[in-house]
Amino acid sequence: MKKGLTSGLVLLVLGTVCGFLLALVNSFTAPIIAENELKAKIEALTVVFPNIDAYDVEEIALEGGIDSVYLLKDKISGTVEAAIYSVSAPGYKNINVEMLIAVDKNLVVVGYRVLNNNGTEGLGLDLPTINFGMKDGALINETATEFDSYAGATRTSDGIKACFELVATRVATDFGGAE
Amino acid sequence: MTVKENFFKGFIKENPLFVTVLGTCPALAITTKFENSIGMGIAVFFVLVLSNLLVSLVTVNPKIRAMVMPVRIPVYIVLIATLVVIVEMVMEAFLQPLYVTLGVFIPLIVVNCIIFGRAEAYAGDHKPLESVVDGAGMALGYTLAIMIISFFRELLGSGTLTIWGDLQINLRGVFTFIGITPINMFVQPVGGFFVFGFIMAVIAAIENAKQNKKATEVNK
Repeated sequence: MKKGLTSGLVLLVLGTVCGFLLALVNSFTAPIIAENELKAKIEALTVVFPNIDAYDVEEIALEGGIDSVYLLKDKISGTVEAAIYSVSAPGYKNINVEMLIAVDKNLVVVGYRVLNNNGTEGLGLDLPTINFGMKDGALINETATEFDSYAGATRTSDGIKACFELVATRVATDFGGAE
Repeated sequence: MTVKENFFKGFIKENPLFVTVLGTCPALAITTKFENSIGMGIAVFFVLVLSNLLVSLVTVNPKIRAMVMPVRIPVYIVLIATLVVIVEMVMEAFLQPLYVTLGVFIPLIVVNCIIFGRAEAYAGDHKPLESVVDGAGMALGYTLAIMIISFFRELLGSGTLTIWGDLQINLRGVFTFIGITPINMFVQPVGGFFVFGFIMAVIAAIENAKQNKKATEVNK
């Protein structure tokens, strides 16, 4: 009994010391890791918003389709000039279509990229390259919900459409126009 | 055993990879690039030296030793795992590209037989300084071994030698001059086994020759 207690105490002390040490190291590496991750994300966001370096980027984590919002703020005034949405919605075989959608302060979609669509070979995989009604290099917010599906890849296009709809319901909040 | 002998035994005589055949999985998996070997070597060096030191420290005092010995295996594992997680966090923060390349093999250092083997076979019964020297020698021997494997694999498989980051020696021109292309097989898993086996065969041949020479001298 005494031996068992001693062994337990040895492990308890060791676990406590090691836990403290890990917490200490984590306290100074975690901010650097988070910064690195944000840098990598910002680099990835340039595919939908090329001059992202001109803005301060604030990340807001969300749930329910929109995974995160990256608010691009003016470096001096701090006003939100654009927002990039990392959004996902069920597509083919109920596996999520993942997209990045950039919207500017005029609520105009200025860029989008399908990161993953799980589409079938052929039409499904072609979907990300299809122009969904871009006008003058921009996809007008209202037109985003006008198309129903792309023939032959209905489920993938449903997912893409749902992504745009999710952004449409959220966008006003980020630009200060709704609850 | 002198300090010098203790340090250098890990290089050839008791090389953890080529002689005792420990830590082979990561050695075969990450040696597709010379740079990976250096990174893995640094990580293993840090973990092995410190784990040997800590294991020796907790077993050097007879009273503490008596308490630790019944639970020495979990104690060693906790110490090694802590050190590996520290390496992992530091590497992710400051050496991100290497961290991504080495991937799962960084956390798997916890179960690298060399680390645990040295703790159990050496550090638990020796003084801290001796254990540190042993750990350093073994880690450098391991690093040297994986550097040799990766040297051949990357050179023959890709025609390059990536020292660190952008510092790369490109020898594809030499391949073109000779009229051959790099042999992709060497950067595939089969190439790892091939090079590993070849180097072990060379070492065995040298050892056999040495023993034969000794036997001949004794017979004379």
